[in-house]
Amino acid sequence: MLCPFCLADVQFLVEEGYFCPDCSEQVPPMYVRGYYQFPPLVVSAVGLRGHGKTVYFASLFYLLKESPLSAFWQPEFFALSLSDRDLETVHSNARMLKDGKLPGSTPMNFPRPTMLRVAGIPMWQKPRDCTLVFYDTSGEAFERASELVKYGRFAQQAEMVMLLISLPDLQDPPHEMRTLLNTYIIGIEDLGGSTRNQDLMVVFTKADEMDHYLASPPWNTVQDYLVTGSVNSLAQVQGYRRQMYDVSNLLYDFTREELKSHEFVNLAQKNFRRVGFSIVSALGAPPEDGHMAVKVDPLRVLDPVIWMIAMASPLSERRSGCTAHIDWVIFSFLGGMFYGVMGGVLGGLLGGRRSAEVWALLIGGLFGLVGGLSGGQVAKNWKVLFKPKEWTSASWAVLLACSGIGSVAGGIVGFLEVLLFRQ
Amino acid sequence: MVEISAWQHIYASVEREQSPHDRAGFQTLFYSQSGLAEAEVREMEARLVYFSSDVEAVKHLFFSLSTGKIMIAQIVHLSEPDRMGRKGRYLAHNLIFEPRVLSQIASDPFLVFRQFPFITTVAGALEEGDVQTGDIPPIAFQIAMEPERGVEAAKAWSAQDLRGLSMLALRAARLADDRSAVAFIGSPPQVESGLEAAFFAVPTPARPRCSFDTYFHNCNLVDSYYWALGLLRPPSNRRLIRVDAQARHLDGVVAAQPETAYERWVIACIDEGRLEDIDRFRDHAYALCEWLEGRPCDGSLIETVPSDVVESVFQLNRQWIGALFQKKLEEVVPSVLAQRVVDHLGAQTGMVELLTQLGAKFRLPGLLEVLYRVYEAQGFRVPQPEETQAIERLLHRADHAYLRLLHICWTGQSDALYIELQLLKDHEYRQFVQTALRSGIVESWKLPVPGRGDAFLDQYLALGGQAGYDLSALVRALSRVGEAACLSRLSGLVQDQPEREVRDIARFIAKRSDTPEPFRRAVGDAVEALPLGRAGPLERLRDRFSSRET
Repeated sequence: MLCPFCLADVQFLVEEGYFCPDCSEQVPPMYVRGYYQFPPLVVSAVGLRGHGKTVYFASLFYLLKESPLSAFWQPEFFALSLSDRDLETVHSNARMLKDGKLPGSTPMNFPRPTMLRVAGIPMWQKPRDCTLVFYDTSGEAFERASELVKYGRFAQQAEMVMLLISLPDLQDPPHEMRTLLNTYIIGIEDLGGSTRNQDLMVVFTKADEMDHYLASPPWNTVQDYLVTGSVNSLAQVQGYRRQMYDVSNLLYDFTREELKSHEFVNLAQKNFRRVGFSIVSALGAPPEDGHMAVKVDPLRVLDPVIWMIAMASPLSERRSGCTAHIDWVIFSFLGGMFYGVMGGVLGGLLGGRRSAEVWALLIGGLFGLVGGLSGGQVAKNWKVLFKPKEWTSASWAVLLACSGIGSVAGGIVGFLEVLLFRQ
Repeated sequence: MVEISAWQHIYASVEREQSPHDRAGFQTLFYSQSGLAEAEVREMEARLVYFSSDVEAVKHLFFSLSTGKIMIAQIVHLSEPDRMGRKGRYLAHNLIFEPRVLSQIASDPFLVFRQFPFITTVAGALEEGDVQTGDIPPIAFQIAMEPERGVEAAKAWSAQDLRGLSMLALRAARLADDRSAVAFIGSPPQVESGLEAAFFAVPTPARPRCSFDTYFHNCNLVDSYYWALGLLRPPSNRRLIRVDAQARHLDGVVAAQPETAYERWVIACIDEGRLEDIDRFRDHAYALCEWLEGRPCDGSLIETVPSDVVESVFQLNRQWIGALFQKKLEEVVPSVLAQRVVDHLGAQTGMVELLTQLGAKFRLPGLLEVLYRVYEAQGFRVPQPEETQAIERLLHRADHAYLRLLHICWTGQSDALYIELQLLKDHEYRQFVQTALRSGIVESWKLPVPGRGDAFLDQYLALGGQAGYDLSALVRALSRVGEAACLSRLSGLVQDQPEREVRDIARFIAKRSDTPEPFRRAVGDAVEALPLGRAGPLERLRDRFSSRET
C-alpha cells in the first residue's frame, strides 16, 4: 500500500492504529481499510509561483463540500475527509473561500497530504470511487529540478500530473511553459521515475483573466464552455465528458496556434502517456487585494479531477493483483512443470511395473507443487530486486493455483512416460 | 558575558526587486559565504517552513546540520501581503554555529533567543546583507549566562513530570532512531518554557541532539524530523509523546526506568530536589558517566569532577560499576587479572580514590602497579597457573620490575631470578629482598647476588629470624656469589644452629679460603661445643655428597 506521508510502498503496522513502518506516521484507518474499495489517487499540482495551485485546491474543497453536488448526484455522491486534520483543512479552505478570503502563499516544503474520499460521481457506468490525496507545495519547488526532487517528489506517484498554468502571469508563455515542463521531466527522471508512465493534464488557471486570449473565434467556444461551467452545470452529467474532451482538443489547438507553444506540446506528447487540456477559474472572478469582491463561483474546477479519475488505471493494475504478479505465475507454472515431470519419472521408477502410473501421478503431483512454490519464491526474490513486494493472500492463491496446474501437468507427463516406455 | 560568533542566513519571501537573485518568492536572501556551503543552505531552507495561523507566532528552531554545525533560527510572520495580495509571507534569520563555539554558552539556544536581536523585517535584512553578492558577514555578539533561568524553568514542573521530561530529552537519539518525537502542546511561549525545562538536565554535548521547532503548525515530520515539536493542538498521531505545555504535565506514562549512569544521577538529583547540582555539575557528571560506560567524553572535565558528584554517581551505580570497570579493564588486561583488580578495588578503595586510581591505571604500567598491590595485599600467594600465564603475557607488553620478579619466583625460575636481582638498583633490591623474606615466596638463599651481600644481610638480619634461618644454605649462597666477606655478620647466629647445620657449615668453610676469620672462629667454637662421637664415616659420606650437590 502507498503510504500517503512518505510515499513508500509498505505494509502498515497495526498497533492501536495503522502506522507506516518507514516514516512512523499514523495513517487514517479509513485510508487503510478502504484501500481497495477507494484506491488512492495522488492529486499532484505542478506550477509556478502564484499560478493558483493552492487556490485551485481550496476551490475544489469548496466545490466538494459547500456546493450542492450531493443534491445533484443523489443518492450516491459523497466526499469524506479521512481524518480530523483533513476535515479541518477542507473545511477551513472552503470556509475561507466562502468568506471571500484567499489562502496565503504556500511555503516551500514537502507537504502533508489532505485525503478526501470521493464516491458516486455519476460520470461512468461503473463506479469509480477513490481517495483523492492532495499535495500542495510552493511554486518555487518547481523552478529547479533539484527542488522538485526535494519538495515535489509526490508527483512521481501521480498517475496524472496537473500542470497548472496561469497565462495572465506569464510574460513569455512558450518559453516559460516549456521550461516548467522540462524542469518537471528532469525532476521525475532524477527521482528515478519516468513521465512516460504518467498522463499530463495541462490546466489553464485564472481563466477569468484570459478574456483577451479567448475573445475571438474559435477560442470563444472555450470561453462559452467556461462561463457555463458553474457548479450548476454539473447537475446534468449527460455528455459532460464529451464536452470536456472537445474542449481539450480545442485547447490543444489553442496552445499550438495561439500561444505558439509547439515545443511545449511536442515535449508533452513525446514524454507523457497521454496529454489532455483543461481550463478552470477557481474563483469565478479575479480577486482584489487578496479578497473576493464577489461571491466565489468556481468554473469547471472539477474537470481536471474527472479527467484524472477517468484516466486512472484500476488499482489491481497499478499495485497488486494478477497482472503485477505475472512473473510469479510464469515461474510457478514452469517450476511446477519441471518438478512434476521429474516427480512423475521418479514415481514411475518407484512404482515398478504394477503400480507405476499411480506413483507417477502421486509423486509427480507432489513434486510439481513443491516446484511451483519454489518457482514462485524465485520470482518473488527476483522481483524484490526491483521493487519490494509482500506476499498477500491473493498472491498465495495465484501461486498455489499455478503450482497445482504445473504439478498435474508434470504428473501426466510422468504417467505417459510410464505408459509409453515401460510396456 | 561570553562572546560568540556565528554565520548568518536569511530566508524570506520577497518580490523580485528585493531579491539579490532577481526572482520573487521564498528564497535565501543572504548567507555568510565565508563559512556556509551551498548544500548547507539547501538543508536549512528545507527546515524553514512556517504556516500562518490565528496565532501568528514567532517560531524558534534549533537543530544540527548534517555537517555538524548547529542552527538557531527565528522565523517571524510578515504582515504585508505579496504582490498578488497573498498573505503567508515570513522571514527567517538563522545563526549557524560551530559546536565548540556554542558549547561556550552550554549549547543553550534559549539564551540566544532571549538576548540576540534577530532581524524581523525584509528592510532590516536588506540593510545587513550585500544585495549584489548575496553575502552577509558572520556576526559576533555577547551572551550573558543566566544559570538561574534553567533552574526556574525546571522548578515550574512537578518532580514527576520533570523526571519524565528529562528522560525524554536524554533519550532524544533513541527517539530519533524510532522516528518518534515529543509534542509540546500549547502556545509557542509555553512550548518554549517547557523545552527549557526539558533541556535543563541535558548536558552540553547532548543538547544538539534535542532539535526542536516551537511552532510546528502544519509542518511535516516525515520531511523535517525534530526531537520536539510545538503544536497548538494535540496531534492525531498516537506515536507522538504528548506534553501539555500549558498545564506543565506529561500525558500518559512516558519514560521507563533510568538506564544509564547519567540518567540515574539526574533522576536522583530531581527526586532529592538538588536541581542546583544538576545546573552546576551536569557536564561533569555526564563526562564521568560517559567515561564509566566506555563512551567518548571530555577527559578534562573528569579531572575536575567535584568529589561529592563522584560519590553520588558511584553510589547510584554501585551495583554494576564493578562490571563496567571490569569490562573496561578487560580491554587492557586479561579477564582473570581484571577480575582480581576489580575485587580488590571494590573492597578496599573509596569512591574518589577509585576514580583517581582508575583514571591512571587504565594505562598498562599503572595497571601493573595496581596488580602488584593486589598481590601484595594477598600476601603474594601463588595464583592459579592461568593467572601466572596471563601475567607473563602482560609483562611482554609492559614492564614492572617487582611483578616480573614475583612471576619468576612463582614459576621457580632460579637462574632468571639471579639475573634479575642483579639488575635492580640498591633500594629496589633491598625492597624486594624484604618483601621476599617476609612473604616467603622464595627461599632466602636464592636472594644474595654479587655486590649485595651486606644489603641482603641488612634485610635478613633485621627480620630477626622471621624469615627462618637456613644458615648452611645461606653461607654457601653468599660464598658462591663472592660475598663471603660479610659472613662474619652471621657469626652470632652459628651458636644457635642445630648440630647438623653447624657441622655442615664447618665442612663447607673448611674447604674455602675466603671465609672471614671471625666467622670461621665462631663455627669452630660451635663445633667444639657439640657433643663428641656424632660424626661417623656414614655421616661424613653424606655430608660430602650434600656439599657436592650444593
